Amino acid sequence: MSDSDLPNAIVNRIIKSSLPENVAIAKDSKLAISKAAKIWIHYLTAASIDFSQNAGRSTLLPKDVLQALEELDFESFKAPLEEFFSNYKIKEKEKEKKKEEEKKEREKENKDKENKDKDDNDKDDDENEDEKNNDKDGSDDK
Amino acid sequence: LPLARIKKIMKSDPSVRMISWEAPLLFAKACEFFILELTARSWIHTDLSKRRTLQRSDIIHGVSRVEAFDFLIDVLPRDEIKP
Repeated sequence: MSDSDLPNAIVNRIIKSSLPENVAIAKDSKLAISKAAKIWIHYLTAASIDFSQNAGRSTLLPKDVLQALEELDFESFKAPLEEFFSNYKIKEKEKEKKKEEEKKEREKENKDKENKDKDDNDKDDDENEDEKNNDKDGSDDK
Repeated sequence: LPLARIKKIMKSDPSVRMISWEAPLLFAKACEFFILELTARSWIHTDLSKRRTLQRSDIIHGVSRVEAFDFLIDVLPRDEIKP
């Protein structure tokens, strides 16, 4: 197969998490599982596409995936998948909210800093004015 | 599992046109579930054989016992296992 494979490190980590601590896994087995997983993606994709095409759509939607899982006898995946997805959406919303708040904080800080700088500059300008007047008095030689 | 990689694999199917942003995410998670399931089923056979190393033959056994895994029969054929 010329298209990309799944990254071994991540696949191996998932495999390990499914096995008890003291179990080893032969290298060719790791590869076999990785290959099977890739075939699984093709398989699920094809089934999902069927559902989207039957609905007259050109875009593959989440509901196509869920229906495909049921069709392929992987119904047990549906509930945990839906739960994962709703948790994901909640987390993303919270992240967005946090980003917005941080942005507002920064903008407020910048504004405060600007105002402070402005005040400092006004002070400096006054000081420079004084110096300039002094210089005028004393440095006419060339 | 990296979404870009998943998307690439999905798109290698010529009948795939557009995928919603959620799809690769769902696929990645479903794939994770699949790996967990396949590994667990294979492990059952490793355990039955009183071994501590999961071999390819265990995977073949796992595949042959679960109807939903029939799509893997060509890749992991039963005849590979010596009786």
